[in-house]
Order: sequence, then structure tokens, then C-alpha cells
Amino acid sequence: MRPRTIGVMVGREMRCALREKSIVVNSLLIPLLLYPFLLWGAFTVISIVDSRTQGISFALALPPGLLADGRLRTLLPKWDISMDSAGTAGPALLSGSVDAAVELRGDTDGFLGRPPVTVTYDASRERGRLASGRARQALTDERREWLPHILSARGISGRDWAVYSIRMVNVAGGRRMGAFMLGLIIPVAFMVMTSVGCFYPAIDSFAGERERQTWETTLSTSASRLEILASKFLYVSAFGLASGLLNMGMMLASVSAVLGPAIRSAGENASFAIPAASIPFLGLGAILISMFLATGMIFFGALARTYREGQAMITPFYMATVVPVVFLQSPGLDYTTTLAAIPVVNVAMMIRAALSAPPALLPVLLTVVVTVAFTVAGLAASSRLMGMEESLTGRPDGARLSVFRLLRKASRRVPHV
Amino acid sequence: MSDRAIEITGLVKIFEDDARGTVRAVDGVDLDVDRGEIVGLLGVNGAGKTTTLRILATVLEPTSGTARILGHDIRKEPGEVRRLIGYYSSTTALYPRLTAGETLEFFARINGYPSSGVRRRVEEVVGALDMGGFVDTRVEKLSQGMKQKVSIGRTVVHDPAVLIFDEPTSGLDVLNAHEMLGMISGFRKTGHAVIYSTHIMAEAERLCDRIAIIHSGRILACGTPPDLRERTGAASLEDAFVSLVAPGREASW
Repeated sequence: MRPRTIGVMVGREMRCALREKSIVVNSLLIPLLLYPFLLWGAFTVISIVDSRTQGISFALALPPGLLADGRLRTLLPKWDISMDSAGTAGPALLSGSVDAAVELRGDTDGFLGRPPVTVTYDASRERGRLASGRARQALTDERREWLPHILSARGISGRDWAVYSIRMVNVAGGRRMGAFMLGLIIPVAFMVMTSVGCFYPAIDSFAGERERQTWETTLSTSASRLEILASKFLYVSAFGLASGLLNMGMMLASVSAVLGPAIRSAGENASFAIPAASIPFLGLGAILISMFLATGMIFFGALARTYREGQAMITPFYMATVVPVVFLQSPGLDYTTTLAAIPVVNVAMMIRAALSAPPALLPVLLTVVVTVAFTVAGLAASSRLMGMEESLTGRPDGARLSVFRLLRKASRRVPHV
Repeated sequence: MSDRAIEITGLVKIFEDDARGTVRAVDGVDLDVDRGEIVGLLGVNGAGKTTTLRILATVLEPTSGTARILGHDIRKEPGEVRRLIGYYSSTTALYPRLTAGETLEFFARINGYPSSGVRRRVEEVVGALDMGGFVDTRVEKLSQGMKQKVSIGRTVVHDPAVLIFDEPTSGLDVLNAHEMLGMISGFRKTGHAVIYSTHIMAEAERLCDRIAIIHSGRILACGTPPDLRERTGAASLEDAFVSLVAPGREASW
């Protein structure tokens, strides 16, 4: 293989790709902008909804008996609840003039033979759902205050009846908490975006060439089949890598800028800084997964004749690689040598581990070996496919080419390079 | 130095077709082309012209037999052969997102033209083909005639000694086809060996020094147009062609 030829070919592929809107948008702009926009959008929506509901007052129908001792009466304004002592809440609820009703029913099937306090509301109305929630909170508060009040009236202090109090202490430092949160988001998003980054270039480099009738043009240059394959592999993986790294960078930046302050204002401690010693492992993970995904997509897309066919051929591979990563978020799952032997999963776990600290070297080594082995095997298989005449001429009956049928055939001969 | 640029010997290409079984697309073709000579492959659709030329361009591999381009065997040295030839076909389109100039530069570099001389060579070709007005325009925005010039340019930019044209006028209007034939004719003077396929008799007669009539993958006759007419006793090349390809079906009008 001649590096100069591969370089010229890759240069041409990149130049063409950067002039194709669908590739630039899907492989570069979406990874760059999607998560900051999503995060910003989610927080904006949450803030708007929160501020809207905070300022709303609800009308509640209450029986006079519940208000007798005045405690509930003092608690209701704290929850923005105004009282309506209408005796029959049903019609008022349905008409919307009352948002929820609190009733003392006459039956005695409640706690310790006392009649239950029933909160009635219309769940098909947002105001009804919110009012019922606030009524429940107000009643819970009332009960919490009732017990000390009664005990105090009988001369029993809180020290005597409380026995112990509960205090929660989180031993995880801010960095550890941040790594845990990032570990839930970044590996999945990274895999998805690296896949998306590879997806369109992979289709473009084979199906696109056939659709534009430039495939034979490329094959008739002095570049060998292997050099063409190598250049396409570099082109597709470069886009996957760029997409994955851009996404990871923007995720870290947007999580730090948006999620960090929100978490801190809620009293939690979380730092989203990545340890410097972990950065090489994140970079290695990005390179490995780009290589793997590019190889798989090239292999499955190598025979597609149109963009549509390319999408149909590559999508199952895309799903097969991305979906398992979603299930890797289980807290009990660690980056072990067993997981390091499973392609894709190994890189996702390596990235997850590296977000908190540099991972152990043995699983990393195994991850590299396994990914490189799969990449080499995939490229060898793709090279076989490219050597087949059907990859140029198609099947005589015009039917879709089958990767596996051709591979069976290819295994019987050495391709012409 | 020998004048022989292309030597085709016993070339056979067999396709396995699910519907038709074994198809001998090329069936023992022998043909030579010298430098400064234009040889036409004349045949009906499906005669084996494109397959023969694709084999010469090393895009397809022959089942048996071989060909040598300037002494290089297409089976043993396909990379070297591709560097020595310029291959133009109606199925070899241009990269639409490159400009005309970038296209020429890419083909010069990928086909091994010395790096230091690429810019100068591109300028030469742009000048020779009168492409100055659209050298910086993307191919996708060019007219059919302009694209045709870029295609010719990319075929010759690495200065190959052997040119292979597969139905180059296919899909072109009369004026563009006329211009294309003029350009191909010019390669005779520059000493290129040209092999050219067509099913249009008038084109072949006007352009080619020799014509090989191919049918069902076999060369039925090869010679100059007057030779072919004389050999078959036909008044025109068309009649000669019909008498060779479908004896008994000569024109009765």
C-alpha cells in the first residue's frame, strides 16, 4: 500500500464530504449542538413549568371539622390553597370551580377505625392533579405537627419520644459524584454520536459512489482495491472520531455549565472535571470505537447500490452496537477483563471507567486487542467483497446483493487487486 | 521501442448468471493496438465491448487469456496498468462535489503524475481543452458539454500512453458528440494508442484506423473500413457489419 495514494484518496473523500450538507449536519453539527440545545431546552422547560405552577392558587373544598383546631387553616396558605367550604364537592369539581375536595367520610374502614380523609380530584385536569398533590402535602404537614403538639400538651418532650433522628451522609466527593452522573450519560451519547458520525460517510462512500456512478471511476484509478478500502476506512472513521469527540467535548462543557450549577443549587456536590490522567484513555476509546464502527458499517454497506439500500443495510448493525450500551448503565457493572473481551461494550465501559479515574491496564490492553482484531477481520472481509465483480456489476437479475452469499463465494478465491 | 501498445491474447470472460446460467461475455478475443492508432470495437448492445474494455482497464478480471498494456500484464500488474491508461466510459461519472480543477488535480495525483509538476500539467490540460471559464466551478453545476471536457481532461491528465473509450458519445447531443470525436481524433496525432467502442457505424468509420467487429464475445473481423467492405463485398460499413453479424439479414431496401 502506498501512503501517498491513500492520502490523495482520503483528501478527495474529505473534501467531497465537507461539501455534502447531510454529512456536515449529521456528522458534525448535530454532535456539536444537539446536547447543549437539549440540555438548555430541558432546563428552560422545567424552569417555566416550575415557575408557572409555583404561582398558582388552588381552591379546595374542606369540611368544617378538619379546620376546627386551626392548624390546617394556618398550613393551607403555605401551599397556595384557598378554602371553599362547599358541602358537595362533586359538581364543583367537575365544573372546575373547585380543584380538589378533602372530605371526612362517615365509614370507619380507615386507620385504627377512624374515618379516612379522602382527597377527591379530577385527574384529567392539570389543576386537579396539582391541587390534590398540594392537599396531600398540607395534610401530611398537619399530621407531622400534630404528634409533637399532642405529646407536648401531655408533658412528653421530643427528646423522649423521637428515640433517634436520621441524618444522611454521602461519602462520595464532588468529583466522584460528577463521574457517576457523567457515566450515566456520556458512554451512551458518545456511542450514538460516533455511530451517527460514521453512518452517513459509510453510506456515501459506497452506495453514494454507486448512485453517482463514480464507483467505476474510483476503481479505474491506479489505486489498488486495498488502498481504496483503506482510504474509505480512514475517511469514515475520521468522521466518526470527529463526531464522537465533538459530542463528548460539548457534553462535558454543557453538563458543567448547565447541570453543575443546578445540582449545586439543590445542595448536592458534583464536579464534572475529568482527571487529566484519564484523557488519553478517553481518546483511545474514541479512536477504537470509530475504527470498529467504521469497519462494520463499511462491511455492511459495501454492496449497497443506493442511499436507501445503504441505510437499510447499515441500520441493523447500528442498532446492534448502540442498544447494548444503553443497558450498561447498571451500577453493579464494572470494567472487568470479561467485559473487555466484548466489542463495543468494552470501549463503552472503558470510557465510563475513565470518567472517574484511569482504568486498569489489563482490561484496556484486552479492549485494544479485541477491537483491533475485529477491525482487521472486518476490513479483510470487506476487501474480499470489494474484489468480487458483483460489487461493481451487481447481480444480473438486478436483485440486492447479499453480503454473506458473496463472502461464501469470495472465500473460494483471492480477489483481484 | 515496439509500437505495440495493447496486445490482447485469447481473452475470455465468463459470468455465472442465476437466470441464464454460464454466459461467455468475451469469448477468445485477440486484438492489438499500436501507438498513434485508433482501433474501434464495433458491436451491438451485449456484444462484449464494455466487458472487454473493463478487463483492459483492470476493473474486471478475465476468466482466461490476458492482455498487455505497454508490456505490462493486466493480471499480474493491474496497478501499473491503471497508471498507464486513461479509461473513459459513460458509466464512469465525475465526482460532483469537486471543481473541474480539483478533479484534474486529483486524477493527476492518484495516477502517479509527479507531484512537482501537477499544477503545471493541470494548467496545460485546462488550456488545451479550453476549460478556463469553469475550472473553479463544481462539476455538479456544469453543463453536459463542460462535464464532457472535464471527463476527457481527467482521462488524459496523467499523460497516459493508452486511452480506452467505452461508448464516449452515449447520451450526448449531436454537437457534443461531434466535439468529443474531434478530441479523440486529436489523440492519434499525439501518439496515443486509442481503443474505442461504439455501436454507431458512422462514428467508427469516421474515427477509426481499424475496426474490430465483435459479436457474442468474439471478434468476427478486424481491418480498415475499406478492408471490411471489400472482404464482405458490401457497399457500406453498415452492410458489412450486418453481413458478418447476422448473415442473410442484409438490407433489402
